[in-house]
Amino acid sequence: MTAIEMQPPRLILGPVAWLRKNLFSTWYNVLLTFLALGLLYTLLRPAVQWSLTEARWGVISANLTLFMVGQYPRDQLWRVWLSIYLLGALLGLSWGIWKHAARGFALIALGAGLAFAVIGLLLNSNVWINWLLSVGILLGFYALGRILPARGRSILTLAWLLYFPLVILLIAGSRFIPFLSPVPTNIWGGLLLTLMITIIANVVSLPLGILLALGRRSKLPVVRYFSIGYIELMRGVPLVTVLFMAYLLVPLFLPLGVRPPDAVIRAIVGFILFEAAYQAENVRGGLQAVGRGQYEAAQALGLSGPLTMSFIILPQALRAVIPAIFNSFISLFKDTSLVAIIGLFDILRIGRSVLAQSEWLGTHREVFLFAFFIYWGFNMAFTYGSRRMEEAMGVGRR
Amino acid sequence: MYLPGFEPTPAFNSWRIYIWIALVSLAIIWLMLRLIQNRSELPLPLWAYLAYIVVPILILWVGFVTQPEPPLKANLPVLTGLNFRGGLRLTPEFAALLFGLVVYTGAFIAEVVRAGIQAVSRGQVEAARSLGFTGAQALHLIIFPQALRVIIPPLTSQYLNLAKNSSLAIAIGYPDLFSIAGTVINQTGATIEVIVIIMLSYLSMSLFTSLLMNIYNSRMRLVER
Repeated sequence: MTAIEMQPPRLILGPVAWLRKNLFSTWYNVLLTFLALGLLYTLLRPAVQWSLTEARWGVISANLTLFMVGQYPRDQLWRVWLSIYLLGALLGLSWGIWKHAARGFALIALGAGLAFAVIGLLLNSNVWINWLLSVGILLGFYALGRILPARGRSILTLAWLLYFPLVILLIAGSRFIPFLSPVPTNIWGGLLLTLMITIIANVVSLPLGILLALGRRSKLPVVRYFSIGYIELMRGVPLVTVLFMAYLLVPLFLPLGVRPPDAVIRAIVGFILFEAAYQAENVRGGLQAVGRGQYEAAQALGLSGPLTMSFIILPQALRAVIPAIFNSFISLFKDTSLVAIIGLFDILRIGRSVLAQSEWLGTHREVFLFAFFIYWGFNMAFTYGSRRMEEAMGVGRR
Repeated sequence: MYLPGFEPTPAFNSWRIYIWIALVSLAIIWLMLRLIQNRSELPLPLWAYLAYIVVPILILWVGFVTQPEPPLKANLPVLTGLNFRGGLRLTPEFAALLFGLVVYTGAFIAEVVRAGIQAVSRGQVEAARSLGFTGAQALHLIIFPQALRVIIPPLTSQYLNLAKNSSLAIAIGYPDLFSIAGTVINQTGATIEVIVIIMLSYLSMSLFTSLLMNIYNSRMRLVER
């Protein structure tokens, strides 16, 4: 006899019922709700009033391209747009094929695209056509994903894996492809640079961190002490000094005649080395939570060491520390603003140089508010991703 | 910002002996209670812990009888002339730095602790509740000891981050290690030496923190056969 598994019925509240349950349930909650509303009103009213009447948003619309891509050649901007269209297509396709699992991300992207189109219209910029086009592509590929046979699944995973190298190739260009002329990394800038550093450094540092964490728990003394020394040294010094090392000392150590890699690449390597130590400690926390019985059970089933690690131990360990790993992701994203001190133009540094233009003097509030919303928006998306991942893996419910 | 503070009176030196006696007696009480507890199966009755309060008060009472003057006196800020005199002075820069770092790091630590608590399997809570533990007891005695294993390594990272982020004080004009080092570099031109000194001081601070946290971590480790 098979047991019929039934989910408990889910209680769905309407908006009015939700308000009554969460904001107006008792007399003191009513009082607190009104107090909070009053506080928000007094705090936010001047800010909203200022942003609608006094603020000179022209500083953003006039320099929007600068904020987004820095000095990236203007006649090559189609490459950036192409990578956004590709992202839209992939998101739409995943929404159509994976349905619920990707719906949230697709909806966020849809909302963001529409919002950007509206902002573009408001700021009299002609980018709204491109954003509308990417939203259209997303919806079109969603429809395509719905009618595609189930065989499309494996292709989709492959496409996601290929997406990031493809984008790097698109943005950086290559000498061997005639219509993709190479764009030197030292003229990358703005949000493009920030995102490139964040994505590459995060993607590379996590596996490196896992290796270091395993090394720290290894029984081989050389491996263990090397890992401990590396982790403690890297966590012990400020990131600024690591970046300085990568920027100033690497060219000194290279033999004569060897051209040092670009500043962006050196910065990315610095970020990877620094972040790997932090990820290693996050993963070590997870590994400590897995009991020895798990290893023994895996051995009893005849699994080899690497198989035990990759199929039994690491899935449990990583699941336990998803919030800590995303903490580090977010930290790294915010730390990218430090590349300004080694002469790279990230979005904040561009904001500062925009403020130095004589026609936009005194627009600090507009520029930094803009940067604030950019950072905040991306971090919200990161946190949403981490929450979805936790839900999918049943963290806290099992 | 001014806060009321305490400052030692001239009698503080003669009081020192009593304070030492009180501290030593606290240590002796702790050792004795531990010994007694190790022998008996049952937890100690609550009144045994009263010794922690009663004995130091007795010693300080002896002090008050023999010494006419108290060891500390309140130091209240008083408005004299154009400014306050006395009390503890909290500069706006320091207050901003403290508040900013506390709130910022608090958010990161919240996520780390949440990860740890959620990593403890659901059955543990249910087992604790069915054994009659209250919610607070279950959290304190069952969940937290297990969660700490996941929490400690990332928590150490956050503490190290906190120490390093304090160098951002330079952004609001607070003269911390980094800004002093900047001044020294300006005056002497010895850039590399000063940078090395900065790195060594941060490194020694961080290594000490992670040493303590690693000792704590090995005490909290999963005890297995």
